[in-house]
Amino acid sequence: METTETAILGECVFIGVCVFAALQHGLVALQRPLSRTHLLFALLCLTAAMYFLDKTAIMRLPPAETMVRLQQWKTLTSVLFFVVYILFVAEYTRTRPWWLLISLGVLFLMAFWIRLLMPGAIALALVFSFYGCIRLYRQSVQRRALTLGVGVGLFLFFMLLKNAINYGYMDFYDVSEYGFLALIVIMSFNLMYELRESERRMHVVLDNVPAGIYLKDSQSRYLWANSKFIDWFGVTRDTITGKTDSELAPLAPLSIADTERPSTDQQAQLSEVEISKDGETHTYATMTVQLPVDGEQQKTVGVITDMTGLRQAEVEAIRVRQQLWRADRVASISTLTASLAHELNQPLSAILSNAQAGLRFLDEQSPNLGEIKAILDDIVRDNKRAGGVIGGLRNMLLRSEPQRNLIDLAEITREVQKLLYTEMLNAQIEVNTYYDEGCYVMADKTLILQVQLNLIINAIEAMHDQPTSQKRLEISVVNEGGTHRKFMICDHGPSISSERFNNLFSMFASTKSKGMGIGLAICRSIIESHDGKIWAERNLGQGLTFFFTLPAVHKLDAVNEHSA
Amino acid sequence: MKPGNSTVFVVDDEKSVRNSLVRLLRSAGCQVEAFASADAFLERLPIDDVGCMVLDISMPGKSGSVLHEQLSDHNCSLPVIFLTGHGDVPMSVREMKKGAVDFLLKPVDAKALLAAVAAALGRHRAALAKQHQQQEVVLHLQQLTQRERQVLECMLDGYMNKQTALQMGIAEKTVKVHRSRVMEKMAVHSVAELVHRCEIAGIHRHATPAEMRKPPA
Repeated sequence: METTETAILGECVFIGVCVFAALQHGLVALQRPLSRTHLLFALLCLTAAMYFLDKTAIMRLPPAETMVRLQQWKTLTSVLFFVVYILFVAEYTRTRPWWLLISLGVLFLMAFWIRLLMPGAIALALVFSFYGCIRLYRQSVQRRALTLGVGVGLFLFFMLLKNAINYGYMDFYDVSEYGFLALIVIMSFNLMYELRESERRMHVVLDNVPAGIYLKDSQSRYLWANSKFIDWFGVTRDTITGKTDSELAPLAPLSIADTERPSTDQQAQLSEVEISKDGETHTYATMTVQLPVDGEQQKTVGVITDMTGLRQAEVEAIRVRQQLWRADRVASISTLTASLAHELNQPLSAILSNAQAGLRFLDEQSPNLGEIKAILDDIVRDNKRAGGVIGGLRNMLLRSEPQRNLIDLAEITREVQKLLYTEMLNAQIEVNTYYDEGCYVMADKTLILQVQLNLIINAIEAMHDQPTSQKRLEISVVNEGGTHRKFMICDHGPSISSERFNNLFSMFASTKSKGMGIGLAICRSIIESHDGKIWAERNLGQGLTFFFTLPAVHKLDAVNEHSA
Repeated sequence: MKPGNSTVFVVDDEKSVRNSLVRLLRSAGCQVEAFASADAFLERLPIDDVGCMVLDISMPGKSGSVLHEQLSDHNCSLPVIFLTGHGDVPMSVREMKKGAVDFLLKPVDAKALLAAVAAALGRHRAALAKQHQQQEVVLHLQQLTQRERQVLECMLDGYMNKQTALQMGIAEKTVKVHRSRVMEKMAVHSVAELVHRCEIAGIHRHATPAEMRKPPA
């Protein structure tokens, strides 16, 4: 029985190959709980191995009783093989017509009893495989499609060969195993290739993302770092592996990673650090995540992003915003020229008249010195007043760096009102005011002044075409429950459409003939930069009421804080 | 400048400006009264003496130009000098057309202001004098009887006594009597003087007084 011995030996090789493939893919499947393809493939190999085992046993020609059982087992394993095969193909080709899968499964299970169904079921399974291949091919996953196609083709080829032998067309020994084997070997190679490919891809991605990535063990020792990390901090993989940051400190400015605080949960921790490198200041943000406990080691993944560009952009954005604010101030001032001229003219006018009156008094025989002193006092006072106007103007026009001080919101509102005195006078607007005492806030005086100026000028312009009797403006500053200070301006201008109302604070939403429509948008950005809120409400009658609130500061607290 | 019993009325809402104006005008020897608003000034009326107003254009409540418009309603003939911080040409033209004496920009120079005040006072004094004369003539005219009035008008038209008598259908002698009464009541000594007086009062020679030409029925 030389041929039987050789056949058994061959079967043993088959079994070995199948078991090896089953182990290999089983391990891969264990490492990647999400990868069902490998799991199914391992199962496929396992059933194939069982099939071959069974066959080997039959070849040894056991007693008849055992033979019958072994034959049943052989059928069962082949049925199992095909069921798993179908599931595998479905997973592998990502084709899951559930009705087909279920009916195929049922068909195979029935084939266990009705053996006649078997060839049909196999044929259907093969058709399904080719269908899957074509679908894959169309989805441009050519490599997978071709491997499966070739594997299934070989399988089919050997099946047909076997049947040809069985029916006496050819005289050769059973070759159906080669079909199984060819399929398994080809698929196994391809799956391993894909695995390596995906790992390689992962490394390419990790090394090329614009971020430094590292992995540390529970003692904060580096286990791994990607190339960006290596590049940024001028270290090599060998020097950092197994070292902590403090050990590396003399080597490279890695103090960045020391700022991380290990946490027990898996929430990401964020920290930011500035490092001087090559004479430039780089800002790095580190985000660390504790990995789920893997074995006994608690590992930490850190992602470091270079925020330098972003920070510079932010600084630039703030600068641009402040320039915009300033441009708006300049624009507001230009609409206020009449008021400002008035504010300057009044004291100058008083000074001139007083001085000339003084000169005339001095020409008299016996000048009244008391009168002269009163005149000089008045001149000094008016001069200071004019100086104050110019100082305020300079503040509005020149300064662009905001600084927060303790200011009284009501006091500022009074100042704005004074500034707009002539404006209101010319527009024949009647103003009613209400101010609470001690509305202190921490804010930039110029900016808040600008917001109020914008709101009041808007209100004045809104009422421009209203009858004089309706040209009323209510302005108030109140303490809002001690936590906020609220500024309120209520005009009696015409009603506006809902669409306009909803877009009030958007850029370029102006319907005014002059102005760019950025006034209210600027007001909002200023108030929000002060942690405040700004909004508008429609009045029951006519017009709008604008509000803004700023967080309250108590004078005593602020003074204490300042001295501390 | 001759102050006499003239007064300058300063109306300006801004205290410091008002005070400085008052001082300046006082230093020039004017009598000054100052008011903080248009309404305060209106309460001070009537003013019969010679005077002028120094008025700020932009004031809360009633503005300077509104006050100027209302002056005639209150029988106030005070000439007005406007002061403004931001006057423009159209505004000044408008106010000058309404009868303002002057339109000065703040800060105002003492020389300009005092000159304007002097001019305004002179103008008001002259105007008042004319007004007095007018009132006098009107008083005289009121003393005339109907007939005497008719004779006066004929005289103004340059009619001879004879023509007048013919026109009025009365005797020439009677006309003569009326004439002498007219001269006496109007307190004039010559026809030329009479014509001058009547011109002051606004009574002119009629070209052809139709009702007088008609012979009496």
